[in-house]
Amino acid sequence: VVTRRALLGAGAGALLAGCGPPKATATSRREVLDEQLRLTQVAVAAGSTRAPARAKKLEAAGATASAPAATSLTAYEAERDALAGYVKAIGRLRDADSRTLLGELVVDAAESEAQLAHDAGQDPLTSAFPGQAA
Amino acid sequence: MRRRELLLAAAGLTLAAPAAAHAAAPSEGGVLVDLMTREQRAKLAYAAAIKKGGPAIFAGIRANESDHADALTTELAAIGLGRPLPPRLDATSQQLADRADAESAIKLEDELVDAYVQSLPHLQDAKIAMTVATILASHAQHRLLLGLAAS
Repeated sequence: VVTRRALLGAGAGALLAGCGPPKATATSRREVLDEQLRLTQVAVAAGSTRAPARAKKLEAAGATASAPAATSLTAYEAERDALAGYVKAIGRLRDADSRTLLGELVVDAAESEAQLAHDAGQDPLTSAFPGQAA
Repeated sequence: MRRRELLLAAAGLTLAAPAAAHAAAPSEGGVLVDLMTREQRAKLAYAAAIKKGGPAIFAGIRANESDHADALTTELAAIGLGRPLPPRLDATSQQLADRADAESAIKLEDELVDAYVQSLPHLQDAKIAMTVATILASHAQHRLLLGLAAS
């Protein structure tokens, strides 16, 4: 049997919980976006023609990173890594602006990866979940 | 204020809070059900288009849609929701089923990409959001490859 006191207490508790401050995020948005810019710049260095536009988008969002002098990765490999990075970042950042930005980056990197696979004569539809962590 | 008034006020506010949140933003479950419905429609439309002799690439895409639906079923189960009943085709998926051409499929994939991008800000669970992001990537690839096949 639920007593009046218990109901009242539960209601008041719910009200207090709803009025509390939002939980602080342990992940720094800047830190996560800097990492995405670093991955994108590797794709630029590897010769991806679409990656420079994504790097500019990240810089416009406040990301900073030093461009690598060179990379041993192919453009396809670098785009695959960048895509996986963007997907992982979506799990780390929950604010609407970051999710929208990262969603756009996912779309562009996924298309770039598929285009490069197609151009190399590889099957671009090997995975139903491109960017999934290995 | 009497006990009864306090009790009703507390209960009313507790119930009103989720309702206001729903009006402001769709729930995670609602978003997932919408995405699942879209995947089910796409799967049905590609199956019909394949029967009508659509482009060879449709078979691989349909297999992907089936995998997406399975993954979303898992995520729905994780938040206590079941798989929705197979939906009726909407205008875009019906067009693909009827015409069985790459142009209709591009239109469908374009709508899927938009729906997935718009869903991301509403997904609180990190694992669900990452699964949805990989499915978004897959639809972006479908759209690009269909464009290449059509050109």
